[in-house]
Amino acid sequence: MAIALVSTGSIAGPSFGLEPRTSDGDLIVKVGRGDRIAFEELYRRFARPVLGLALRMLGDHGRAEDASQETFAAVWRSAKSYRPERGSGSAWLFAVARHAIIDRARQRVDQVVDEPIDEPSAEAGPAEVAEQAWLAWRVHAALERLPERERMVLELAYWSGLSQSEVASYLDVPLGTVKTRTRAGLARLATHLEEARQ
Amino acid sequence: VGTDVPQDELELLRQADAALRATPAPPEASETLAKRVLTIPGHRRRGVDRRRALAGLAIAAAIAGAAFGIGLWAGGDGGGPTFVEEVTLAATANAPENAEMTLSVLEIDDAGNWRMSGDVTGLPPLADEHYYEVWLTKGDTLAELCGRFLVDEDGRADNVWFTAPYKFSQFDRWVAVAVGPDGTTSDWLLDGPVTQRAAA
Repeated sequence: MAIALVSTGSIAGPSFGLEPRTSDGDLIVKVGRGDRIAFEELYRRFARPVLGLALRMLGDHGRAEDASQETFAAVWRSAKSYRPERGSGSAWLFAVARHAIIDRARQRVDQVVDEPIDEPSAEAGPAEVAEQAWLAWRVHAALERLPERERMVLELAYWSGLSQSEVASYLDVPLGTVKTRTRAGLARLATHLEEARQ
Repeated sequence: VGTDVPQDELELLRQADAALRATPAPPEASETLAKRVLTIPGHRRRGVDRRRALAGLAIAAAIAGAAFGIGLWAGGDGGGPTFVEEVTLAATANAPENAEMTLSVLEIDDAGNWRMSGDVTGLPPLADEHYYEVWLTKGDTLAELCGRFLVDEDGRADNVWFTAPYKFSQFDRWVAVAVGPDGTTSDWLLDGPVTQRAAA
């Protein structure tokens, strides 16, 4: 069924919750055409992954926010150059973010770096550090794509230290529901992780 | 996750589990960062866009923040956000017969905002820069906007979050409409009563 539109004048309102299922790559293509709604949605999806990457590489929240802003400025400027056939939108964004963050680090006269400051492990070499950053990026980005109820269950279980029973108690849902959401969330997450890798 | 998981799915779940265990929690992006980033694309197409975007991002951040704040709550009385009421917005004659939105209304927050989660089925995907909106109505008029959403290729949207800093008793209906890039709207596509418990 086609939806017919009629003119009713301007639209005003205080808030919105946009929840599209457009792919990351399609969003970047739209951003390249100057679509601000797509840009806002891209920010909503990648704000935490970008900030997380910047924090890992810079180690300072203020500088990480500066680098995040520069990342999205770079996205806005260079989205036209994105070619979907060359890789996923998430991977393209990761590269843009990484370059912006390294540029940010290099701007510090007292801290010129060729590689990001990233020390998740004292024994980790550059390749391992890069792989860990890429994994964290994909996990954080994949989480943003989960339905809220599944994301909440996973974040509570993995990063708030709650048992499944405690999660169920907090959310006021049966334990079985928590298990169902955990199973669905993990499966969906694995699929998104695989997609981002390609 | 149970004992009845097929082996291939179990492997998938293990991969996701390992990835989560190897990854630190994602940080929360501040509203300040959202403001800084969302001013990047030069002039706005409509004056209200940025305000709406920021409010939406603030809501998203609040929701995400709630997930992280839960640890503090869980040790207390076991409380948390609870659903007040569930409302169904049914298809009007202008929408496919099976179209529907289930709107779950959470209890009002300290700032006086109602938060709602919507699950949508049966609405057709829209063209670029078109989207659906949920409004509170007075009589035949769209009175206050509660949120925007898109649907996937199957006509679905899950867990779309809305907010409404209004007294529901002042309104008559919840409706969903489609909106074009120039602000034109469709006839009402989905329609449901304002929740009675929330309006009380």
